[in-house]
Parts: sequence; C-alpha cells; structure tokens
Amino acid sequence: MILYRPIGMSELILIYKSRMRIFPPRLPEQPFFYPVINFRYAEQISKEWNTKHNPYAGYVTRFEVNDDYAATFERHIVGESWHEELWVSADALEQFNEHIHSPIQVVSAYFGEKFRGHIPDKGGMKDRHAVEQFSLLDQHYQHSTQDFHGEITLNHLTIFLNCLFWAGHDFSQHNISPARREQILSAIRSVWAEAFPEIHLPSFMLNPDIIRPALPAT
Amino acid sequence: MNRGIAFIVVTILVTGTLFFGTYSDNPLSRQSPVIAFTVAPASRILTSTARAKKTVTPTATSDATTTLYRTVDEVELAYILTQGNYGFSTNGSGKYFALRLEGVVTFAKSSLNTNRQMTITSIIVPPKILERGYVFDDVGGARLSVHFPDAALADLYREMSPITIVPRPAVPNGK
Repeated sequence: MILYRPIGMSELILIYKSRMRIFPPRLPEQPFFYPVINFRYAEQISKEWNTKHNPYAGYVTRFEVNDDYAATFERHIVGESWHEELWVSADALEQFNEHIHSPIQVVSAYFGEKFRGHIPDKGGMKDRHAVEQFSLLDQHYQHSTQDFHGEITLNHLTIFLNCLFWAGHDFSQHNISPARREQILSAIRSVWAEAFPEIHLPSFMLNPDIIRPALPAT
Repeated sequence: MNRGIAFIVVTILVTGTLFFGTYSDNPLSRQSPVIAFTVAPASRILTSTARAKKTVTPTATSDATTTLYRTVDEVELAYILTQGNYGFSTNGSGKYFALRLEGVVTFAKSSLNTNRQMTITSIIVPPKILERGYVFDDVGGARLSVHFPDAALADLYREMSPITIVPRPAVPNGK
C-alpha cells in the first residue's frame, strides 16, 4: 500500500538522518502516528498547516508497506471522505518502520511567504537564507566548480531541504532566469547523484497517487 | 641510517635540488618565486622559498607543513597571476581546498568540469591554519577538503607559500 505523510522540516531532518528509512519516534504527547491514504489529503495538510507555522515549510512524504501489514491498522475518515488515515499507535511505530520499503520519498513541498529555508552553520552558505544560498550556488557554478561541489556536499542537508523551494522560486530579481535556474538545479542533481546515490534528492512527482508496481520485500 | 636516505637528505640540504622541475608552458612558471614541480609517487617538492626549505610530498602532511590543492578556471588563474593569491569571492563565501592531490585530480576530470579549462594549483601552509577552516569529506568530489571562510582567507594568504601549478595538461576534460 502506498501511504503519505505530511511533515514539517524538523521531522524531515530526522528522517533524512535515518537515510530516509524510518519515521522518528513520537513525542510523549503524541499517542498515534498518522500516515494518510491519499496524496490529496497529505497535500492539504502540508499547505494549510505546515506553511503557516515556523519554519513555514510542508513536505509530503510517500512510502510503501505491504498491504497485509497495513490492513492490521485501523482506517479512520476524519472529515471529508478523502480525509482517510491509518492510526498507528506510538508503541507500534518501531515495528511499522521495519515494514517500510525504503527509501521514504519526498514527493512534494509547499512553502509559506515567511519561509527562509534551512540555514546551515558552516561553509559559504552559513547564515544565508534560501534565496541567497541559491544565488551563491549560481556564482560558484560559474566561477569555481570546486566551491560548487564542496558547498553541496558540506551542506547536503540544506540542499536536501531547500531544493524544492529553489525549484519553484522566481529568482529573476537575482538575475537568474528560469532556464538558468534549471541549469543550476540540474548541476546540483548531478553532483548529488554521484555523491549520495543512496538518497534521492526530492523532486516533484507529477502524479504521486499513481501506484508503482509493488517493491520486493526487503 | 640507511645510506640511500642519508644521500638524499644530504643532497637536499647541500644542493637544494631534487626532482626539481618546471612547467614552461604555464605562465605561472615564469613568475618568481612560483616554482612548478613534477608529480610522481616518489617525487618530492623543493621550493625556493626560505620558508619551505624542507621536503614534502604533494599529498602528505609533514609536521611543519600541509599542502592544499585548488582547481581554478581561467578567470581565477588570471587573478592568481596578477595578485599572487586566490582572492575573495564576490559573495563573501570563502574558498574550498583539497588536502589530497589524488582527490583534486580525480575531481578535475569529473563530468562537472567537462568543457571547462581547469588548472590544479597548490600551496603549502602551516597545519595550524586548518584550524581556521572546516575540514570535511567532499564526497564524490575532491574528497578530504577544507573550507575557509572569508574571515580566514587573509590569514591563509599571509601564511601560505607562493601558489604552485601542478603540471597537468590543462585541456578540456572528457577529451
């Protein structure tokens, strides 16, 4: 079964640190883990909740578990007919994680007007917000591929978290045309694919509800 | 002491030359005191500066010095020729250097540098300067590397040896 989970930046950071394999344990005041059944619902939560709260970023993750295992959890409709979710008790999350056919994918992201991005504490991007970061990467790409490459691998978490914002942002005020933006993003993806082949850089899925053939159990 | 090693050490101390080479095609090699050198597994570098009167391998770190490597494009190379350092980026984001020659050579040949005219340069620095930067593994790139923020570059340029060109054919990659 394909499931989705809308998350904020802090939860995505924890998932990333697990190499996109598991969802982090719930907090004591969170008795359930709620994956949702369809992309539409996950998208709505991301847009209407996460983008309105600091750091103003909502990500939709997509992952797969065996149908038989998913069927062991209660399904609840909590609003409209498509507001359907599974209720996984916090105690069961560790076992649930073991049934995820990794990697967990980021298939969409939404950003509020106040979004400033993940801001690293080292490298050339240190203390710069997301728009400045991309402008810097553009200049690195023009002038020094060693700086460009180093910046990406040193600040890979920032790249991972901000790349979908860059993909949708208008950088014309920074003299970066859409074509130029795509060129830089393509170069980032190339560097990423060679440096971190086991983790897919987030990319927008045109139709995340299309179910792929079931992955073999791992 | 092994007589062969003793001979090499004496040769260095007395004549100041060993595996000394020049790279006449590169304009940097015509600038004193910039000295180019040949790179071979067993080779050693000997610069003409008083500060660097000891032998180091291109990739090894001795007790007293560390060699850093940086690939530069034609624009940065031209700047080096006129100013003798790597300058400061317009965005104030510092500079990246590799700590291993093999890493930067591999990176210079990578697809990211296809159709770019890259030149590998090196500098010799006191190891203590690395404390001003952030050392990390540039995975898939130049590997063991260090980033110096702008605030550290002035000190780096004051402490470093003259910039040296690593004599590698500066032709577009992928050819």
